[in-house]
Amino acid sequence: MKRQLTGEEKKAISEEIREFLAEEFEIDPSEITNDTNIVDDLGGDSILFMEMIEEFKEKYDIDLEVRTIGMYMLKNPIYTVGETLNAVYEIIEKGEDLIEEIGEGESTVVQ
Amino acid sequence: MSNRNERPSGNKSVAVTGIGMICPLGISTPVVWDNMLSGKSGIQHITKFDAGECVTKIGGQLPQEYFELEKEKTPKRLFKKTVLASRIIRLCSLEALADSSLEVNQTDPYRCGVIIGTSGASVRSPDDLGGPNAQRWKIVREMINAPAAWISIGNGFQGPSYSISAGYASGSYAIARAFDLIQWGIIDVAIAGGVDCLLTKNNLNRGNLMKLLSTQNGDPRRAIRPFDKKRDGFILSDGGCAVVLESHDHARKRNAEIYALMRGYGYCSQTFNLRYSPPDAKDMQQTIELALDNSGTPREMVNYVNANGTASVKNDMCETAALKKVFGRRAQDMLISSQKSMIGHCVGGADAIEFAVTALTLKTQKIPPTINYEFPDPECDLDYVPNYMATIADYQAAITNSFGVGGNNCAIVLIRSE
Repeated sequence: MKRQLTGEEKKAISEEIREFLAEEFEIDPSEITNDTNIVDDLGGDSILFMEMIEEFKEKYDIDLEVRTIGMYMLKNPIYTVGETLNAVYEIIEKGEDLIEEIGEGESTVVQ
Repeated sequence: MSNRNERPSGNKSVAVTGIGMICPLGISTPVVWDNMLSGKSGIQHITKFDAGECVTKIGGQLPQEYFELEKEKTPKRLFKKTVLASRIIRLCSLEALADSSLEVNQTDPYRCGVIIGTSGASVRSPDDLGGPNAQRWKIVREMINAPAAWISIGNGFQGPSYSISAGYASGSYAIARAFDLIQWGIIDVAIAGGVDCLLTKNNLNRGNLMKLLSTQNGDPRRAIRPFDKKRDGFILSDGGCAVVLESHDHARKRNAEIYALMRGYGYCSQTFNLRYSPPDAKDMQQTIELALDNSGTPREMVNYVNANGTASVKNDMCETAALKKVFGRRAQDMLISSQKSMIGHCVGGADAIEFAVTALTLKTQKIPPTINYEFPDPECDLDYVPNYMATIADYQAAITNSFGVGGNNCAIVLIRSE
């Protein structure tokens, strides 16, 4: 089901993500910009994104399988906080339509 | 027939240049060492869980300050991704690295490895389920290679990194493999060691069922009594130890301070019984002889044996018998001690601690005692350094023994560094 996030909702998500990252990495939220690289600058890891989605799942009524989100991430690699925000917006807005976009039957092999 | 090394180590030795220890007697090597020399016991009534229904109600808990150190030195995110055993050995490795003064960025990272021994049971313990949502981290928390992986990732060690499981001998097996990798010229530096934290209600109950554990609850500090006539088993403890090992050349080139030199080891798996050696202690004898022969160490050079000394009725007797067979009459003049009398049994961490203690013994020429030795057993009639430390002079070589459930035996020879 498609939905459109309002500017205010996006701002709220952005703040929540910054707070989540600040608490996770024990830094001040003001140190986090859209260009901050989650792995190189914060010492994050590949599980972080899934963890954030888990946090937002109930709040934003996201009903997607881990596998779908994983396939989305293979097609849309995420490095920075800005890319993370865009990915979270897209996952919330597109919901199950994301499955069609990724291509259900397509097999993705990561080398 | 034996698995004698076809290529003995000859004159090549591996230097011990850093030590990090966490156990019931303290959370740093100097504190643990001082407490050992003073003959202190780290065994107490269990407070970390309700042991009221257990037959054995005492154990070797980590001191409270460990948890303060852990909080200070473990990033929040790493804490979620790790089990207690991984965090303990990571902190041991940080102490060992700092102690070695090794500048990691001035060393070829591909020639630095990490080999950690653990029974595995504390990495996949039902008693260490982590905080809320820990399920998300199950894979990275509970992979058996985790204790080694977090050390290599944290320090940029890009050589081989893995865990070894060989029961009570896990730490020794890990150190022996690190020795091999350095001897074979595959790496120059290794962080090696062992860790376990098996002091849980489950393990007490299982240990009691197998009659492995002492039940002398009345006075915890006097419960574990290696080689004493009134011994009745060991006490479970939490702890670990990491050492920095380097090729002797590597250590010399950077003028590293060397605790001792590892000369070689012997392995032997006893197949008589899951728990016990055969009465003739042939497997223990074989293990010690292999260690001496593989390292090219003359028997008369060895004066100190860091005993396995679990306070098991049969194993202490067999270890004594094996030492007499290997060293003959000289066994009566040698000093033999068991630190398990003070710290209990840290399982995969125990022999790594004992390896480090053996290196410290050669460096300082001081031997920690076997405490709780009061009633001589005619079957155990050697000098176990009873109750008080010994100061020695000019001891050149020592052996540390590990003999474990599952039949995994390992003995390691260390010599004094000039």
